[in-house]
Amino acid sequence: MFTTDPHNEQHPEEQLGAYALDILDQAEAIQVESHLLACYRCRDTVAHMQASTAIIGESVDHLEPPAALQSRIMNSLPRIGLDATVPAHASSLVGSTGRIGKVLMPLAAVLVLALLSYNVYVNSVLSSQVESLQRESAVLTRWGKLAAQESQVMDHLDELRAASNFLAETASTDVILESPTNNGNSGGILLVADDGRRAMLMVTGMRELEPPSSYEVWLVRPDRSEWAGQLKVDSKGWGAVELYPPQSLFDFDMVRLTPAPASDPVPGRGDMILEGQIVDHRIAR
Amino acid sequence: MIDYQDFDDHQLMHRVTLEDKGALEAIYTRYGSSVYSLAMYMLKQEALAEEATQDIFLNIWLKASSYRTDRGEPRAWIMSVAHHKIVDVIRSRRRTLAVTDPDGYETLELLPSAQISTEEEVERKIERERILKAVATLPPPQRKVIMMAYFEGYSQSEMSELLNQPLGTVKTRVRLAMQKLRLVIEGDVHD
Repeated sequence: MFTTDPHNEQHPEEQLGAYALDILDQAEAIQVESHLLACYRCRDTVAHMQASTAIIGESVDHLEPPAALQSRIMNSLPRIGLDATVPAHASSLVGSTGRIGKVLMPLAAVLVLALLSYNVYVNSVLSSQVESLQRESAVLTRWGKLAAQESQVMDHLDELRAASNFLAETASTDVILESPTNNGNSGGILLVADDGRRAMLMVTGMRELEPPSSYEVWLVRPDRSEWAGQLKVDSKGWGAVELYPPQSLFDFDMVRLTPAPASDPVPGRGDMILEGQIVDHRIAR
Repeated sequence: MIDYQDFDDHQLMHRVTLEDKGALEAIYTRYGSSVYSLAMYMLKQEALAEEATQDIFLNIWLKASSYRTDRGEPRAWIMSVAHHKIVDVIRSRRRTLAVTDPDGYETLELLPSAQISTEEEVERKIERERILKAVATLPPPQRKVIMMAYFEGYSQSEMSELLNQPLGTVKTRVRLAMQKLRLVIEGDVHD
């Protein structure tokens, strides 16, 4: 049963406990899962309930697994190739987002205005694409496709949904990231929630790094730099990550994206470093 | 040389999404015992438990990118992935596995927890005992459905049949029990 809150949203509160225990029928589980994709409140409730049940699971008598099991597991791991596992429709969606970014990045100021003006439209379009892909993903699951395929699709769906949520927040601040040497076609945009404690970073035109190397996001001010997260760039140069900095982003002057480990970058390669000045526009609003 | 001991669980999870096998090994070092223990407890056969543990860490490797920080701590996510897989095995082998007597859950005694090795382990032990105490204080019918659901993988309708109770009653018991556990973990219930 769904309940309705003062904002006229319906929440499947009576089913969340059973969902956390994984004992709902498949139809009910799909219904709850689709609600969770869009509802932070219920996701939070389920997370707390799952934390409780996880502790029940950890309460059993502890046994040491056989010594050989670890090496058997490590030797059985396949490589997670993005291109090999993401269905064509998902790749094309991500790719098109990257191409849009490449074209618009040089016109950063225009992009910001356009994003803010059309955020509701973009949000609805992305939501529609997300729902469509979600339905396709459910079909893929029913057909017994590989777990990797499903998780990669869901990963991109989550990225798109997070981005669309940010675009729908008219009170967000945008920071444009550019290469300090103006090399290549790389660029990025950081959408910062009004409290400065949540942000979405999207980059395009970046060089893909071989694992375990990745890009690291740093928040910089004169007295120190603080690590804020890691970002994986796919073979098309596109990457996105949600950030939850320990303190407000507006306490910092700059956001910087660098490859890690630090010895990895090739000197002068502008497509591996991005920087953006954080300007607090909230007072002006 | 990367020292994975310096990474917290969130950092390890992120490195797994970057196909860093060392990070998965570190996660195995931290949680392999918990996962294997749960598999042994629920499946009751070594070969099955090993196979399930291998599948669980393969799932963690493949699905790490679907983990989201706003959906709880990595530890809870890992145990959730483990539980989900083990329940799948149980459901597919229901007829060949020894089933625990549901009545036993009404008189559940707290199980001993793991050896304490670090400050974090101490905190986890305190949290674990708080939850287990809450489980123990649930009315026996509520405790029974939680334990049957969690450790045996029974659906609500299966429990309704096994316990000879209306489905609505089982659903209410599950809901009330989970609400109480949630209150405990949020610290709203005090000793």
